[in-house]
Amino acid sequence: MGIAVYLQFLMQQEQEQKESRIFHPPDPQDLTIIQISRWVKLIASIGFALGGIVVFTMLFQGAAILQQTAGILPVQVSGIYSILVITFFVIFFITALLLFYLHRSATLLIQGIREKNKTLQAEGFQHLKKFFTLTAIIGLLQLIANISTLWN
Amino acid sequence: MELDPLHEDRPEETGASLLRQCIGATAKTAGIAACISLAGTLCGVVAFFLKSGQQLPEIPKEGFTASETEMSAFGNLIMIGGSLIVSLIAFYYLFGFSRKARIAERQQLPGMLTGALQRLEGYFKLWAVLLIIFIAFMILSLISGILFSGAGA
Repeated sequence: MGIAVYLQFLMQQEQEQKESRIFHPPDPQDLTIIQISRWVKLIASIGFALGGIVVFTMLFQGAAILQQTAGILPVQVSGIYSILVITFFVIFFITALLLFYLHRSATLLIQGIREKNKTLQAEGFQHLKKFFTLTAIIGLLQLIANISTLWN
Repeated sequence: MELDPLHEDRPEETGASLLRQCIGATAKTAGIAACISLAGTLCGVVAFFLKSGQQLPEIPKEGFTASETEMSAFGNLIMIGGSLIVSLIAFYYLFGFSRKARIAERQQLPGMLTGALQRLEGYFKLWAVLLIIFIAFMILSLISGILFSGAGA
């Protein structure tokens, strides 16, 4: 008897939610922000997984890999191995920072939509802005490197 | 950000206005990033073609036939072409988001803002799909490496 009442209550709740969706359809902007945060979260998750594999590989084979790389480089200067190690760490931390911004942005956007809090959504977009700022800086360095290749 | 005293009693409007401002600021930065990224890729493509057109000294490719050397050069061309296509598509989505979002923020058009956000969704969808394809290739090459080394042994 109690179970029947509980089931009836659940069905009534579902019916009310359906009617609410008909009379108050979800905001298309909110739906799009949810989609954005899902794709961003996927990219961040894949990135973190790949980063974990890189950390694991470098822990056991890192020295050998960097020494081999130092050996096959066309430019041979003293201290090339140390330069490679520093370069690896810089690239690793920049990538980690990019992934952190993506992950934080996705988390804040989803939380903002769930709690209908525009301030949280705004904070999520601020993290996306930081992501694009860092991407622009990296793009600028790449552009400078390509232009210097053109001139040489 | 401080609350506007005229809207202190209407936090929803303040939040919505803050969100619009943040999306506008993100769009501006995204537009700059898109232009710089495309410029970098175009410079790289030009540098590749200019350098490959230069007369290089003949290096004996020991162990490789002429057709294998040609194939590796063709592979480089495919990679450059692929990266250019991806850059162009990414630029279309990101710059489209930037342009539409800034117009929507200035003229307060919610429909256009949704369209801008759909472009941003397309940008991240592109990179997610490319990442998945990259991981699939990595797994395939790992499996084929294991199979061929096992067959050779």
